Amino acid sequence: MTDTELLDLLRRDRTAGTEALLARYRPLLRYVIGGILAESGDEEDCLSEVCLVLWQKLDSFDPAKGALSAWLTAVARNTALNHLKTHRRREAHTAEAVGYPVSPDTPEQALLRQERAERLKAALNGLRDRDRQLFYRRYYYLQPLSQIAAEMGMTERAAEGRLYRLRQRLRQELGGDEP
Amino acid sequence: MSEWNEFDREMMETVTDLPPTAGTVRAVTPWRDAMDRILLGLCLTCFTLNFLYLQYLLPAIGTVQLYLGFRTLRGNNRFFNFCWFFSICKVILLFINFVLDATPYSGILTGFHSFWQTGITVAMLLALRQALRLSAAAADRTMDRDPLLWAAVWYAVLIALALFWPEPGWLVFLLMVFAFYRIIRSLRSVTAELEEWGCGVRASPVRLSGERFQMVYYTSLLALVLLCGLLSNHIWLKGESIEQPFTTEAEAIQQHLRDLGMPEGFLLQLPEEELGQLSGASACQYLKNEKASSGNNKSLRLSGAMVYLGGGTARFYVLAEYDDEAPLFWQNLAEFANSSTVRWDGACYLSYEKRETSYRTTVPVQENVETVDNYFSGPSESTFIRSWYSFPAGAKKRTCLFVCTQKLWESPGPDTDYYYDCIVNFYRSRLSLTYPYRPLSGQEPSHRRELAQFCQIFEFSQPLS
Repeated sequence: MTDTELLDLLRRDRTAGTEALLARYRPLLRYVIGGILAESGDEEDCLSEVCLVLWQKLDSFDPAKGALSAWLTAVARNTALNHLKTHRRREAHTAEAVGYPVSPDTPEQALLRQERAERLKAALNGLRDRDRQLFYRRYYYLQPLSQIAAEMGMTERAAEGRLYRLRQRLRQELGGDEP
Repeated sequence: MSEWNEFDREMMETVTDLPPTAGTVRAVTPWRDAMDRILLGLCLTCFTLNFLYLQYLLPAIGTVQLYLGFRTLRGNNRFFNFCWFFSICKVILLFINFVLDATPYSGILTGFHSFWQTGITVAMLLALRQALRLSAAAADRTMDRDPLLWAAVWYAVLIALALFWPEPGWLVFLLMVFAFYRIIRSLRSVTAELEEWGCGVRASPVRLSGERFQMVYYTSLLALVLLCGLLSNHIWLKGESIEQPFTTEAEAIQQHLRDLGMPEGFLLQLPEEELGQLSGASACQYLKNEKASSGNNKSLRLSGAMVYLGGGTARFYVLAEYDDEAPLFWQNLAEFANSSTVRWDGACYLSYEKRETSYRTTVPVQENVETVDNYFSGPSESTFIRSWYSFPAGAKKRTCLFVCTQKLWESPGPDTDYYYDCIVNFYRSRLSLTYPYRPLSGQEPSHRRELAQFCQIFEFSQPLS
């Protein structure tokens, strides 16, 4: 079943469509969640939460803005991050233990954030595919170094070195604090 | 995440607004990358293109890609593990075979290598088929198509064609290419269908990164091939210093040959074992061929002698004296070439000076009866006598004495009564390396070798007796 057929089914029969969607994309959702929550062990709870969010937000998906898989990835990531934040807060009794973005931005912050995103987008476009993949694994999927190394076919040390060089490069291009 | 600093946090926050494209989502999962490597490896190893060294380059790249692909997936089910094992065997076999190809022993493992490569490839295709079926089952799917079974059949047909019908023509070739294209397309569809399942793949950790593995593998392969190729292109011969005086008997033969007209300088080149064969000599003629030598190798002077042994046989001696500057470290070849005369008992002797000591060595000789297609008389058999040799680095006053015994044919010549011809080719390799290894031959194009030819007629005014 293609994504278009899946979306058609969702429009006609939401229950059957969601089931089909989860049957197809559950491994992807689990993969995204697994990277972020590898340490906490709350993957199944979070997956249920993601399913609930999807049920609620499916109407907000606009195929014109991007692929279904990318949208699902974003939903799974954000849900997993929130899940992790709650988990950490519960553990450490502090809101800033990890520093993940949660609070809504002021208009000025939103503008700054948009500018940063545009500069980062330009910098990412200048990267080689493998470095871009490394960046997304680290900063978007928040995968542990061991997972990144195994999936990219390198040792942890090599992955660490490559990531270090990537950070240096991005620091130079975007500006940032010194190592 | 405690090691994260402000910059990392900023990156993580900012990238939230830049979700990955569908392509990046697919590329991030280990399945896609590994299966791409495997498909590329299958494409590169199943076909052989015999030009521009592609018959070596493509399998070398393809085999390593197969290994890296299966290495990532090996932990997912036991059939991927089998595939990984088979790919290791392929990588090792390829390495050994390529190194051996740079040496004179290249033929030793040809049959063994072909047999195992074929067996391993078929086994790997079947194991991959099972691995994909298990993968599909894990994703609650069934594979409607079976491209890997067809791939195994295709490969078996390819091997059968190579064995029993080596030149099937363009039509069969195109059919095979088309069939392979369909198989790979079908396989690509199957792997794409399984891509979502691929998110569940666990990549196995590695001790050596893919890039480093490739660098180590290719660098060591290249280094060994170059080293073996260079060492094999020099023929190692053990020279013995010339110190012992001739026996009284040999000195008597020398005197006899001197009386028959053999010049002193030429006589000194004959080793004792040669003198022993010339005790019954009844006639001798010496020819200096310095100006008449043909070919593009001008770094040597040629001279020859014919010694009649009686009974209608004579021993022919051709002496090549090389210039000191001539590069002779790589392969050289002396050859009694195509002729209708009957020849046997070839011999080849090298002499040279190194660190003010004179050395002599005997070079092994090959005698082969070969069928030669003559433009006028049609195919005929001829005895080729050949010797391959190299001189050590730094050697001076280098000579090669090339010898054989011939049955004489005699007939009146146009201006003289009786004549006997002798043709010897001396080749020198211009290349320091040939891959795969091959002995220097007269068939090499002229940019790869130089030729000097001793082509002379020994004339006598009356029949030899």
